Amino acid sequence: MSEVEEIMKRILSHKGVEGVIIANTEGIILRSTLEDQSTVHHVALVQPLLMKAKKIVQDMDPEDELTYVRLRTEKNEEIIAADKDYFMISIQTPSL
Amino acid sequence: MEKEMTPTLLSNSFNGTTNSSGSGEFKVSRRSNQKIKFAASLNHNNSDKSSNSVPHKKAIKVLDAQRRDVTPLALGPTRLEEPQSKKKPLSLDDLFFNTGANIFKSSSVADVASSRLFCSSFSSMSTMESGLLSRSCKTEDSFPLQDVTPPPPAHSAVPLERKCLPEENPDQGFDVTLTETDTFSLLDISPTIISEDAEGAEAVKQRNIHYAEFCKSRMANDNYSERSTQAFVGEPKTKHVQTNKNSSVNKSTTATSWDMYDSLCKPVDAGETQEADQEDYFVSTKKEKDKAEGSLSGDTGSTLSFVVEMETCVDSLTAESDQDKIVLSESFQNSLLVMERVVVLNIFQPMLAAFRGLPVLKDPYSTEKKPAAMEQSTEDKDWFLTPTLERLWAFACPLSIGRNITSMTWNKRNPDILAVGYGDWSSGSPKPGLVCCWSLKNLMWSERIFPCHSSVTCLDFSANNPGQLAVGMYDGSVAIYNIQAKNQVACIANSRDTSKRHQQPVWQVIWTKQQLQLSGEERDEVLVSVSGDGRITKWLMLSDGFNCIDLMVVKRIQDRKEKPKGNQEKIENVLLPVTPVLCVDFHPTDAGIYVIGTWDGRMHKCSFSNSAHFLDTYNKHFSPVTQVEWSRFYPDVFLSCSADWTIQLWQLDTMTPKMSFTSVQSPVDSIKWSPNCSMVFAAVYRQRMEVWDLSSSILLPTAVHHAEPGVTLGSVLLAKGSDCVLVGDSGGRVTVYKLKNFRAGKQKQVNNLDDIMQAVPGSLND
Repeated sequence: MSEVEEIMKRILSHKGVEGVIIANTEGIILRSTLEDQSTVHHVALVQPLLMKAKKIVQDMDPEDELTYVRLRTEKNEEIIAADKDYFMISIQTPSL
Repeated sequence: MEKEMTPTLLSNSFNGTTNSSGSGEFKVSRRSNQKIKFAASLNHNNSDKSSNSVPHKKAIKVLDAQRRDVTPLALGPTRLEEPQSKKKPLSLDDLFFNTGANIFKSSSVADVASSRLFCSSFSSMSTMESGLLSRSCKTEDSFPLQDVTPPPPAHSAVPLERKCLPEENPDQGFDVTLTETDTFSLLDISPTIISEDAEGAEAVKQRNIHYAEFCKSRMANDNYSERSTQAFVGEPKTKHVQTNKNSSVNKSTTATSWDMYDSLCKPVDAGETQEADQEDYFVSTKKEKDKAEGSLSGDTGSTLSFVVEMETCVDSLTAESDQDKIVLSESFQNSLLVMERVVVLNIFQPMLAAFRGLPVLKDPYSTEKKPAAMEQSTEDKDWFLTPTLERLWAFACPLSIGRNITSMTWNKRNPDILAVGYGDWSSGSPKPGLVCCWSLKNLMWSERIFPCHSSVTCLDFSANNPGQLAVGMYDGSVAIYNIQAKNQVACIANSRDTSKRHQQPVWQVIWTKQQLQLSGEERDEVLVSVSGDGRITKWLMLSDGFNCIDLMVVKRIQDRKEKPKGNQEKIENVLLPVTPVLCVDFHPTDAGIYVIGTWDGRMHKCSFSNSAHFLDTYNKHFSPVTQVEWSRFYPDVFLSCSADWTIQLWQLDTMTPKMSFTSVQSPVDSIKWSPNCSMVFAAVYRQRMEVWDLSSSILLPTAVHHAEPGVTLGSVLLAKGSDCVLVGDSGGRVTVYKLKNFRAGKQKQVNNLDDIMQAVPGSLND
């Protein structure tokens, strides 16, 4: 448990990282470093995207599975790690 | 009419209606004489008339006139009979007349004795006929009747006329003839409209006219008077009734190919819970929406919202237990690991691209425009620029900062993994050391951290088992770590308890492949360590532990007398004439030959097989030789450096060095050949690091990097496949520099180390 906390703290300490959100597949938020309102907003918007992405991957090849989704926008980048039970979003402003 | 017609079942309802007299006329048309014979046989004993014997008592077989079996089949599951007074063999009498509660009790029409039902209805019909109608009818029924008192038929009060059958009949089949009854008409309402051509039309017309006249005369007639009256009409009253709103829930699912595949692959219980979770998810989202809508509609949705609250309570409880499960699961930690790497890579992307030699992409959205233009112009002048070192990044983490770096090495299989050893013994008492394994994918935190009980002096990765890292320490112990494990179990061998361990610091450990003994492909690998007690030992992982065998003990060569040689154990006594061996390197192709460098400046060529004598001695340095390294490109060439400020290039069989390099008056701590180019090597002095490119200059180093003040450089390493130099310093940082503008080996292919060596005028003499 403490290892997990440590790693999360490290991720947050990297340059440009704005927040990390961990939620389970039902959309229940387990851990978040952003404020509630924006966290809920984020999760609610990302969830359908993830489901669609999972569906895409598995429709093309039923044995394949979605692992990560990276969403790069003008202002920042969202890295989403997806799994059967949970998904984790980390938002980073790249320093390029 | 045909005799082959199969008997049909008459329904219960028919029975019922025939019992009661309905409205309308009851007619019976003339019956058509339809005879159907059927033979029913009761099998108590095997009767010869029936085709096959059925074991149970009540089987009835119906055969038609042609002796074909037309037994009606049961419509439903056969019902077991109550064993009441069935001791006597069942008679047809029972079957035909036992119509009371027994048969009509069961709702199913069919029975084993479905024909029984038929027979009973038939019998009721015949009864009725005999009772109600007095018609002459022809029946040829010959029922076998026995002396059994049947219960009185429920539907008819008319006593039956029975004919007694002679006694011998039960074993024989008998003939029953079925006839059709006349048609019964239940309701007959005559029409009130007749056509004009009908017979009574005239009379009807007359009556109509008469009636019309009568209506006309009604007004003035004294026979009729009008009167009105008022009837009480009840007041209508509204009554309210309240019920619960019928809530509807939309449930839908999409069957996709992956969904089906998932359900197939998972075990059943897990699959069901998964489904349940999925359903819950759908239902809960729907209900949440309903809740939102319900609040608008007022109290009609009150029960609905209560249910939703319950659900969310339950959900939050399960979420907490789920949370722990998720967070502790392995896949989550994997995700975290990769996430960290991705984030770090995002930050360091340009540096890593430069490291790998990829073109560095500029962010199209960045606000800096000017440096791009400048970059373009400098590219043209690239040719004329001096080679420089550009700093890319530094491997440093809070654990490692402040520790002195003593050694670094790349993993043999995965070129992204770097092992760094930390140790400090300058203060007199050696401090505990540390080994960190860094990965190029995560530049900010080392993936593995292994604390050691003593300062680490040297490291080497094994080639055969790439996960094994040999560590030599200041107190003389040699340990092997398995870097695939994460914590304490990583140390798979430690020589602390071995009896023959080194007593002096281990200055170098090296894995080497032995001579090819068998025809197998993998050569055995052997760990060799050299230490300050003059011993060169070979370490083996035996069944009882980690043990070593001395390859050689290096004695101080005295010119005057010969000391007894041998593999005797020397106790830790510095006065004995052993020479600390500081470095060793094995010949790249001929694994039995190796060169060692000693404290007194001599270098010896030794062989595995000969443990007593040196094959050769190279005498040039007069200070401790700190590093020896064979060139990977030229098998007989090796480089040595020592504390006497010089670096020497030797060839195997030549007793004097071919070339010598000096730049500053500072002990050379380490040198390394470049794995990419045959003519480049790097050397580290205390305060500076130099890169020599022999194709451009043999007198001066091509690139020089000065250490920051207060920091001494300890170790250097060159990266394979990338023209970068790693420098470890006493601040605990491993800084990565890119060699820019090096034209080593790219332009002049002709240049060759041999040529260079030939070009040196003569060989250097002492």
